[in-house]
Amino acid sequence: MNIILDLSYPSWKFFALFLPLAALLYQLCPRTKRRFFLLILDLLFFWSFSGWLIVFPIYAAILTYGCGIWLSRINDRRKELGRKQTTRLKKRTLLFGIILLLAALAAMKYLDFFGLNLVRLAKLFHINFQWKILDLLVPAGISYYSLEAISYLTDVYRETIPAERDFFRLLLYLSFFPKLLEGPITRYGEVSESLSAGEPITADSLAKGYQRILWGCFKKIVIADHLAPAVDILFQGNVMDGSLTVAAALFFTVQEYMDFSGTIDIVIGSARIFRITLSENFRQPFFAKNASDFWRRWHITLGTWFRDYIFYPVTLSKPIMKLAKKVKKSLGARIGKLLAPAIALFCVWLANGLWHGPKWTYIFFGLYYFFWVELENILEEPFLGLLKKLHLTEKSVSVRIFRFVKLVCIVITGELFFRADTLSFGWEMFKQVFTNFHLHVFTDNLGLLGMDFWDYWTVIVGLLVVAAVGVMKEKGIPIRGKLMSLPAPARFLFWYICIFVVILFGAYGSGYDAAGMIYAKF
Amino acid sequence: MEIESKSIGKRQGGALRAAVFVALLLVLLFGASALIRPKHGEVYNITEVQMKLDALRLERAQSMDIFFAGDSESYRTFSPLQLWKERGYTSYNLGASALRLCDAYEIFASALEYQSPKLVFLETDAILAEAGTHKDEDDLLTNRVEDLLPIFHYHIFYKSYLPESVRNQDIYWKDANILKGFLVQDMERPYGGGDYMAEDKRLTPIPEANRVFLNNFKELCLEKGIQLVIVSAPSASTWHSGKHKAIAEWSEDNGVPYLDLNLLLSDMGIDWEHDTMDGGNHVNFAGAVKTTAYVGKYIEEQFELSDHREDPDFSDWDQKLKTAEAEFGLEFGHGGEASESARAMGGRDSGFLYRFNKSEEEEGRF
Repeated sequence: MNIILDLSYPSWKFFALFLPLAALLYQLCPRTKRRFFLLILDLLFFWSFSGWLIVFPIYAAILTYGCGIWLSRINDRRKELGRKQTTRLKKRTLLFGIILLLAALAAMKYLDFFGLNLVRLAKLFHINFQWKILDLLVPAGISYYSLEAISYLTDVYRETIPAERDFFRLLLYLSFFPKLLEGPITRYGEVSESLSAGEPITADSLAKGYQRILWGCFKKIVIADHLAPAVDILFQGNVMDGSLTVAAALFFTVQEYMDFSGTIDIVIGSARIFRITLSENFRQPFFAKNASDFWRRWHITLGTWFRDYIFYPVTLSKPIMKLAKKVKKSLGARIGKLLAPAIALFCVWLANGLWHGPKWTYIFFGLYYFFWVELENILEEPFLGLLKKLHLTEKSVSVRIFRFVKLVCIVITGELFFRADTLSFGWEMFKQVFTNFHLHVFTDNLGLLGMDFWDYWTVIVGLLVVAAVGVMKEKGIPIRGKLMSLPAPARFLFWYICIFVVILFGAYGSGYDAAGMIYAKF
Repeated sequence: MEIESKSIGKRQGGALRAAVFVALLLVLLFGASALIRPKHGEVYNITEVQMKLDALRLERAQSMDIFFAGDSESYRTFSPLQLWKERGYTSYNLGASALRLCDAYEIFASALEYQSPKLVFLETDAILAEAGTHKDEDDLLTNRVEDLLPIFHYHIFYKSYLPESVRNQDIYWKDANILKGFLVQDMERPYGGGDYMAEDKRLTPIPEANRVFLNNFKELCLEKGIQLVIVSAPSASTWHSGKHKAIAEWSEDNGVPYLDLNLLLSDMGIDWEHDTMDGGNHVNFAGAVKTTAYVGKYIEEQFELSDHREDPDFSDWDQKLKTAEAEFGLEFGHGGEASESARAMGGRDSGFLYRFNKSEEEEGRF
C-alpha cells in the first residue's frame, strides 16, 4: 500500500492526522518522558522531508552543545585565566562554533552559487576556471536552525543564558517540528523551559491551538493558494505590459504575506496545543509607517535576530567605532553619527538577502531595503520639519495615506525583484510600468490568469476579513475575548462557519495544484 | 480538595465540549457530503462537468444528432457549427480541457437525460491519459477521506453558479454556449518533427480505471441505441503507434468502429506547418476546419443521418451559426479561416494567452 505522507503544515495530513495523533500519544506519555516523545516526533518529522540529511541538524546540535559546554568551562576558569585570556578563549570558541555552523549552511545551500560566480569572475580576467554543479540536497529548515544555534552560542557567550548540560534539550530546541520548516526563529531562553516541561494538553490549549491553525489555513489555503497560479503565469516569461507587472508584484506580495503568515499561524497554533508559546512573526506589517517599521512587523524573528547578532555587534565593534570617530572629526557629527549604523545596516541587509537563498535577486532585495531604510533615516527629520510647516502631524489622514501608498510601492517593487527569476527579467518587468502601461491589458486578461470569478471574489473578501482583523488588532480590540464571551452555541456556530469557509473556499483538490510553502525553501 | 475537584470538573467539562464539537462537526460534514454527490457516479473535476452540462441544458431537448466527447483534443478539433453548415447535422462537443474519462462519461450520461443522439465520437486522448476520479490515485489516505466525505472532493461545486453577466463574458462559457462546445484558437506554432506514426512503438496500455469508464460508455450506448465511434484527433506531438495499437485492440475486441485521423493526414490536408497552435499537440482553427470537414464526410458515408438544413424545426441553428460567426469573426467551414477581428479578439490569441497555454502544455495536456 502506497501512503503519501505529506506533512507540510497546510496539508490536512499534518493538522488532521499527524497533530491529533501526536497530541494523543504525548498526553499518554508520563510527564517526564514527554520531551523525549517530542524529540522522536521532531526527528520523524524531519526524516519525512529530508531522510538521511537528518545528520545535519544532529551535527549542528552536537557542535552547538559542545561549544556551549566549552564556553561555560572557560567561564568557570575565569579567575584562573584572567579577564583578557577568558575573553580571547571565549571569542575563539564562539567563532569556531559559528564558522562550522555556517560552513555546513554554505556548503549545502550556497556552494554552487559561489562556484558559478567564481567562474563568471574568472572569465572577466580571462582565467580558465570550471565549476561542476553539485546540486546538493538542502536539509529541511537548515536556514532556521542554523540561526537558532548561532543565537544560542552567542547568548551563552554573552552569559545571558547558561550553557545547556542536557544534549537532548538542545536538540529538541533546534529541531522542534512545528517551527522546523519556516520558523519562527526562536531564542533558547524563551522556549527551552516550556519545550521540556511536558505540560499536559488541555481542552483550552487544544481549542486555542486549532483556532490559530484554522486562521492560518484561511490565510494560506483560501487566499494565498488561490493567487499561486496567477503569480506563476505572470512571472512566467514574456513581459507584456506594465499593468501585468503591477498585477504580478501586487499578487505576489499578497500571496507571500498570506502564505508565510498563514503558515506561521499554523506553526504557532500547533505548538500551542502542546502549551509551548512561540514568538510571533508578523504584526500587521502594512500598518507600518515606513520601510524599517515594516521590517519590525514582517518576519519579526529574523529582523530581531539580525538586530541582536549582526547590527549591534557590528555597530559596537572596535574598528567601526574608530572609523565613526574619525569620520566625525573630519566630516562632522551628523555624518559620523550615521556612519556606524549605516555600515551595520549594510551588513544586516546583505545578510538578509543572502539568507533567503543563493540568488542575485535576493541579494538585490536585501540591498534594495538597505537603500530605502537609509534614505528614510536620513529624510525622517526634514520630513517631520516639513509636516510642521504644513501644520500636519504624523497622525493626519493625508500623511498616513501618503505613507501607506509609499510603503506599498516600496514593498511591491521589492517583491517584484524578489520573485523574478533573474534581475534582468525583474528589470524588464519593472521598466514596462513606465514605458508600456495599459490597464485594459490586465482587465482583458483577467480570465486567463488561472483564476475564475469565484477565485477573485474569494481572495478579495478574504483580504477584507484579514484587513478587518488587522485593524482590530492594531486598535487593541481583544477579538478572542469577545468570541469567548459569546454563549457556547453561538461560539460553536461561529467556528463551524469558519471551518466550512476553509473547506468550501480553499484552493485544494481537483482543479488546483498544490502551491507549496514559499518560505520553506529559504 | 475542593479546588482540585473543581479543576477536574472544569477539565472534564472542556473535554466534553470538545467531544460534542467534533461529533457535531462530523455530522455536518457527512450531511453536506450527502447533498453534493454527482448524479451518475464519481467525477474528478466537478466544475468542468457542471459548466459543460449547464451549457448543454440551454440546447433544445432532443435536438442533437451527434456528440463529441473527450478532452481538449476533442473540443479543439470538432466544430459542431461547421458540421451544421456543411452537412446539416446537429452536434455538440462535450469535451473540455484536461477532462478525465470519468468526467467525460458523467457529462455524456447526464446529457442523455434530455438529448438522444444517434452517434457519439469518443476521442482517445482521455482514454490513455491520467485516470480515476481522485487527484492522485496513489494518495490512498486522501482518497479514502474523500470517498468517506465527498465534501472535500466536490467542495467547489458552487463554482458553476455565476451571475449571468459574468458568465456571458467568460471565454470558456462562450465556447461552450455559442460555439456548441468547440474552442477556437487560430494561433500557429508549427510542428517540426517527422512522421510520428512511422515508428513502431510498444503498445501503451489503457489505464485500468479508464477501461472501466470506456466499458461504461460502450454499455450505455448499447442500452440507448447510440452508435459509438472511437476517434483519434490529429496530434503530432502526443500520438504514436503504441497508443493506436491499444485503442485498435480494444475497438476490435468490443466491435466498436475506430477512426484514427492521424493515419489520414494527407486525406484531410493537414499541414503541421500551419494547422497546429502548439507545435503539434492540438490543431488550430485551420486544422479543425479540415478535420471537421473530413469527419462530416465520414459520417455521411458511414451513417444515415438526416440533413436538417431545410427542416424548419432546425432553423434556429442557422441563426446560431450567424450569431457565432459575428461574435467570433469566424467563417465556419468551406475552408473558412479566422478573420482579422478574431485575431484581435480579447487576448484569445495574444502572446499572453500563448504563455498561459505553454504552462498547461508543460504539464502534458490541455
